[in-house]
Amino acid sequence: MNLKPFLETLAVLAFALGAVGVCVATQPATTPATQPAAAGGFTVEKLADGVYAAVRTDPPGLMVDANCLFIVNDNDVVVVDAPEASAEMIQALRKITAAPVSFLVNTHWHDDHVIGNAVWRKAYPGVRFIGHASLREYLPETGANNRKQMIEGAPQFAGQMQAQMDKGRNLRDEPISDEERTSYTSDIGLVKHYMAVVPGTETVLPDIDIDEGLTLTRGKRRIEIRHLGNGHTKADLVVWLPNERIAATGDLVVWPVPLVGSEQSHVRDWPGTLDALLALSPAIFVPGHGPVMRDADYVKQERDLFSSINAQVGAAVARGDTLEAARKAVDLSAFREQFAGASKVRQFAFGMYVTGPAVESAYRDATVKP
Amino acid sequence: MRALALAIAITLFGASAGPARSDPRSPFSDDAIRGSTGIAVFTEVPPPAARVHTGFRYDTVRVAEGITTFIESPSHAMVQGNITLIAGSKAALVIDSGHYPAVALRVIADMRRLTSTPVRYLAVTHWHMDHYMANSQFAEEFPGLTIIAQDFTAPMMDKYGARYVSYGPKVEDSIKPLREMLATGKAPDGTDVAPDRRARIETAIREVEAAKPEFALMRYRGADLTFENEIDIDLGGRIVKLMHLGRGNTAGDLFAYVPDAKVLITGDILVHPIPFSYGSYLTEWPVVLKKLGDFDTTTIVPGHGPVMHDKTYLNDVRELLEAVFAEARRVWKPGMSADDVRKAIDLSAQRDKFCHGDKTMEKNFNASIEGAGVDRAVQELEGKLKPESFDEKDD
Repeated sequence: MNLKPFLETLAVLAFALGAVGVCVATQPATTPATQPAAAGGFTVEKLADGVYAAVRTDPPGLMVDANCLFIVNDNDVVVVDAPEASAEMIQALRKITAAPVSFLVNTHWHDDHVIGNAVWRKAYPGVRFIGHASLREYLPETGANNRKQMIEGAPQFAGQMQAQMDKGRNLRDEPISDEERTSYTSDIGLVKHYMAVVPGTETVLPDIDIDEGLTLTRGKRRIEIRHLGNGHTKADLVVWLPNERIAATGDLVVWPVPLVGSEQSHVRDWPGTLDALLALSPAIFVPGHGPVMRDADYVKQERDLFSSINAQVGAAVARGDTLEAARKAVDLSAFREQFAGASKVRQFAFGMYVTGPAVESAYRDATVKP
Repeated sequence: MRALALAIAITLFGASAGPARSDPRSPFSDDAIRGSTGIAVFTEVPPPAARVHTGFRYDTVRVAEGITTFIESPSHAMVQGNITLIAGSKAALVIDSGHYPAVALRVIADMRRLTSTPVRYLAVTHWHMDHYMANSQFAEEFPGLTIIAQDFTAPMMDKYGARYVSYGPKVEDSIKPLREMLATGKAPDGTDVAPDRRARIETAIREVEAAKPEFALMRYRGADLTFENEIDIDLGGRIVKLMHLGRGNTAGDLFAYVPDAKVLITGDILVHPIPFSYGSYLTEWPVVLKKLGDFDTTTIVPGHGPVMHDKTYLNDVRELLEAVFAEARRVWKPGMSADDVRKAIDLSAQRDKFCHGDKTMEKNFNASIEGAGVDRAVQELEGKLKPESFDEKDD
């Protein structure tokens, strides 16, 4: 099989979405949230009094759906992000509290973080959405185009994955491993869920636009919503609970490999933004994708990766390298080892979501005058 | 003890005859007039209309499509800031809840007649109490209401607004000297109280008495959403920009801009007919006014006073504040007190421009501009700006 067209399709999707904000839940809505991931696609983890993370448990792969954070106050709930599995997330929240959701924060503009807005609004008519000011322009235009491409391309992508699996081959047309089979199966499930919930869903823009931030106060609870800088996109928001020392990072932090979009990410700014996040000294990080982190190690690893890319690309630009030459010159093998280890799935994801787009992003930022 | 720290009734113009005197026991002293951040300006209103508080009058002014301002008219002894309703297709936003709970309930009833869109947001322009002491009434009438303030303002509201609900008895204290003047027929300076002045004092007392029951209705409610510089709110077919462009009347001044209607709602960054400069920032305020002047706007709603359709008054206030600071800087030398500066400067041209020879307005000008404004200018020149406060014990 000639994989090139498929990979190009995938790459177009990934890069056009600026890091593949593509996501989906593996399982139908009926699974109790407290059950392990394999059943419902996510588990609910209590992080502090009234603070719960709904954490995706899909195996690493190319398709993802986002985590959610529930901040349950005395009389209301503030939610972070509206994933594709929002209907399931709402069921999980209702098991925790009957209080209404008053605000929902979209940490950036990708579908796996905003597509559920309409579902949340239906469940909680009083909810208001908070997002970066750029969402108002992005979502109806670029966001709508990317969604259209995704809806057209994703089933083909899943079909090709399935075909490869049926032949016992991976996406590189090598013999498929068990890890890859698990990953592809998950990806296909996520695509199916995406196709079940996304087409036809109304785009809901923010009620409150912010450039810098705002703070919600609920009794003793403080909920700080901050744009700490550009990174995954220029619309990245962090939700910070200073009393509980919990940070919901959106896709500024993604496990097991960062999600970089060549068009939309800002690798040059990303380390500084992560430094601003680290300066808050969170005890707990809730990443956009991946498990809850109780130390800063992974965030620092991500920062160091981007700093290294910037330094290497900067040197390449200084000696007049073309983008292609810079790609060849940049050596991320040590980081690839750190992030992906021996996992073929993660190595593939690292190539897809880091090496290719991050060098391009850094090169663009280093060559374009601000 | 220092002068009575009273939220209302700081500029008791006319109650003390002529230039304010230092009488440490009286709220009419220099300290009471100048040293404290007066919240509602307590003026003697002209006779003859007797206005009990239940008859607190306001005008309902259509500002633009979907935008209505409720303006105290005329100024009462204990003033209230303007309240503005901005309605979109899915939500409405109110700027300031005013001073008085019972008045707010009347305003809310008017709002319900004007729009069926629910009020989802209430933005407080600054922490002076005549702008938000009816927050609770709005929150109860509009469940799920989000109350918004600038980052500096919210804790100041928590500090002073929460205390203010128990100020009812102090209101009576504030009018005791007026009652004495009526009883003795003498002003604190020994001069006779003329009949027209007696009538004004009677009106002031009547209005303050009528306001007293409002304090029993006050229940403090602070902000639950705060921001530093700007948030934009989509009301449905209409965006409202809530902004803070720097220190002016207070360090947390919030104003609203409605681009589709070209309307600016300024809070007390702009107060008509005389700016209120207690605790203000003389050099920074004109900068904010200059920036406001650059907005594409055809209509300006001030914190107090009538709706304006040009920028004349805005520019006048900017020039006034610049002139006050320039005069103070011209004469000030290290070691000079604010009183020394007042004696050496000449604000007569500005006074005439704002007061047109009206004696009551001149007293207001003398207290708020020549008094408090020069105090703040001198503090800036000394490099020792006092923190804004309401109770002098905080100083």
